[in-house]
Amino acid sequence: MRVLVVEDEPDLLRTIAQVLREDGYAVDEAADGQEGLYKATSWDYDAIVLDLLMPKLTGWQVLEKLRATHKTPVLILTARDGINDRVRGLDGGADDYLTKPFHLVELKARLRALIRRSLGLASSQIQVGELTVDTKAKTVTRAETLLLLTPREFSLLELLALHRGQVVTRTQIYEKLFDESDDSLSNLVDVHVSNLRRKLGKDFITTRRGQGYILHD
Amino acid sequence: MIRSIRGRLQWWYGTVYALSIVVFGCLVYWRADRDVNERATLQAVSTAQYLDVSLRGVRPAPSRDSRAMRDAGPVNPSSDRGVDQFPSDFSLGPLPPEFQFRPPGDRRPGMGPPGERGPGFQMGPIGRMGPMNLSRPPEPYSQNDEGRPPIDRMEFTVWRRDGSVLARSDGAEGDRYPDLQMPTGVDHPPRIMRGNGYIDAAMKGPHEATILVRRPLENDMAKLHQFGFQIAGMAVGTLWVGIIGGWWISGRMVQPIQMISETAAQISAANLDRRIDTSRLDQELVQLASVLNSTFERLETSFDRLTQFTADASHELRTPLAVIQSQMELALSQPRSIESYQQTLETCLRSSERMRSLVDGLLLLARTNSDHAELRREIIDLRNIAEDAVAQLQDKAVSAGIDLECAAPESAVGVNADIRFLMQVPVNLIDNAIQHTPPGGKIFVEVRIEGTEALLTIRDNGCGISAEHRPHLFERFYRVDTGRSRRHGGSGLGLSICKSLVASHGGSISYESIVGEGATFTVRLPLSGGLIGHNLENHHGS
Repeated sequence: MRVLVVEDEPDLLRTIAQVLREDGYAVDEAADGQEGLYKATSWDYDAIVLDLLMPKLTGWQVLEKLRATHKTPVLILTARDGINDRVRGLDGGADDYLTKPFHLVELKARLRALIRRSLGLASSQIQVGELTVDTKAKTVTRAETLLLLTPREFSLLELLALHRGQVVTRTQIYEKLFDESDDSLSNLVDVHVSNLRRKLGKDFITTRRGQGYILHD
Repeated sequence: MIRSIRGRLQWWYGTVYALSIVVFGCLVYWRADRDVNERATLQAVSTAQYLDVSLRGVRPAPSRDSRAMRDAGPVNPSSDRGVDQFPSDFSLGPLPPEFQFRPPGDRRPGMGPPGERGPGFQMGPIGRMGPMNLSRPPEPYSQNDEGRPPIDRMEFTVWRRDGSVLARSDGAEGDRYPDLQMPTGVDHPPRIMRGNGYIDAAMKGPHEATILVRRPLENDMAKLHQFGFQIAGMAVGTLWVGIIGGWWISGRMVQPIQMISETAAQISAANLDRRIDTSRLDQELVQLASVLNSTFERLETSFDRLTQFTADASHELRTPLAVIQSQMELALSQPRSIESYQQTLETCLRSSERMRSLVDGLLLLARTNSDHAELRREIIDLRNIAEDAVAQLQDKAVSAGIDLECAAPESAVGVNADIRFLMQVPVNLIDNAIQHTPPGGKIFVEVRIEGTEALLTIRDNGCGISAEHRPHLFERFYRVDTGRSRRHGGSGLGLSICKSLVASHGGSISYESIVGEGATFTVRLPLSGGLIGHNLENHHGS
């Protein structure tokens, strides 16, 4: 899962980004509306956290321009709590609205719900064969047994599970797993895949040579 | 008394209306009463005169004076003295219809020929009057008298000179007026006497006969009273109609006032954007409604400004609060390294610093805006203020790589101000200039006197102020560049605080700017003439 955080308050931007990274998201940061709009239209994010009052471009302007081409779920995070601001934000194309100051757990829960809705999932659990991927608790169980995965491994499994039965390319995986600040090589994907295979069993993830990986039911 | 406009209106209107109706009714009644009396008098008089003329037509019994009397031509009553003999076949001639009586049992009086008429006169000693010689048959006085009210009938009595009755109508009453004077002129009017319920017309007739015509008024008075009751009834009726109509009209008059008060009541209940519709109001009320509307307008504007200010202030406070809260939550979510905790604490400290400066700014703004009395003014030297501010910010300027200089005249520049508050002005303006001037730039602070004003200018050669920001520059929480000013801990209140402070000292603040070349802020304060040397010395020393 890759998300974009657009926030002009540097400390808050850093904090939110760190929180989401620790939660297993790949997080890109934008310090103003212009940068935010550029990134939002350049990459395929799973969700965007957007501040409203920002220099250069306000959150409403970003939203308006973004909605012309993209349907990326947007969570507005702002100190403006007036009912008019909420309505304006939601009518402008936002999917959710959270006011500052906020609890990090609520931000994470709303972001999860936003992504789940955009993927068309009813619950936070994905069932793949005898594997249960809980996107809320960030756990994977197989036949009542809890499997211990790193956040990256979990994100990889989550991505494959969401697209089960379909080929997920190495580029796609790379884009969803690593954000702009990750200074890593693309063969890191192979490392994570082999680690997952070691923990889940060899048969779960099939390699399509030259294309990518596929998770069978 | 009555505390309702409608009630009072009704009360006054009703009173005036009732009074005018009463006056009108009385006038009408008085007029009718006079008419009845005049008509009755006229009838009595004309009857008396008729009798007089009729009696003259009676040839008296021959006497020694009769020839002389006839030669006298027109009847001269004075020459009739001595003649008192009426012939035995005395006849009065045609009588006006008023004397025609209906004999009991005769259902159609006066319909037959005069000869068939029933008994009309009761002749005194002469006896019953014979058939009258009517030169003109009298009009039957009634075709259908069943439905008509009874009318008053004339009565008359004619006395001879010796007091014996010559002629008397049926049931006639009345006494001979013994003191009647003999008429002196040709045209002698009868004497009119008003009694209780009748009018008498008495006169001397020929041969010193006394003619008395009595015109009873009972029926006429009864009719008049009836008319009076009718008037009173109609007056009460129209009064009621008028009062009900007046109540309705006053209700309609008061209705717009009610509408205004209802709208005003709705407006006071939270939604200030409504206005009283003046298009349907009368001219007198439009003014009232307009005054109310403009009051609501101002109320709404100040309310909006307050709401906006509160929203902005809470927004400004929420952001650092959000940083602190999320940083804390993040730090506590899992065990972390010492460095990580340190970083968290530093971030929190930064945020609380920002909140502190924001709260200070808000408090200062509230103080300067609300209570001018709080200013403890004394005469101070503006040069000291500027120099102190420059000294205070010199370190910051140096670390930002900016050259900060100050120039002041030789003599003192006195202003009447509260030093605690006025000090904020150059500090804020210089701080602002440091933020908007790149390293290597220059800030020049100058104090000078121009006419009756003390001027403080802060000139920088920084980025300047672009046109889009100029209208909002002194607005609270307005930032030219949000990100940068936040990194510098700016609250967005500096310039609005300056403006408010300078205004509370009776001065003004203005600026000039060329984009890319810098900006110059000028503070003008009234120069205080009463600058006392030792006072300045004291301040300088302290």
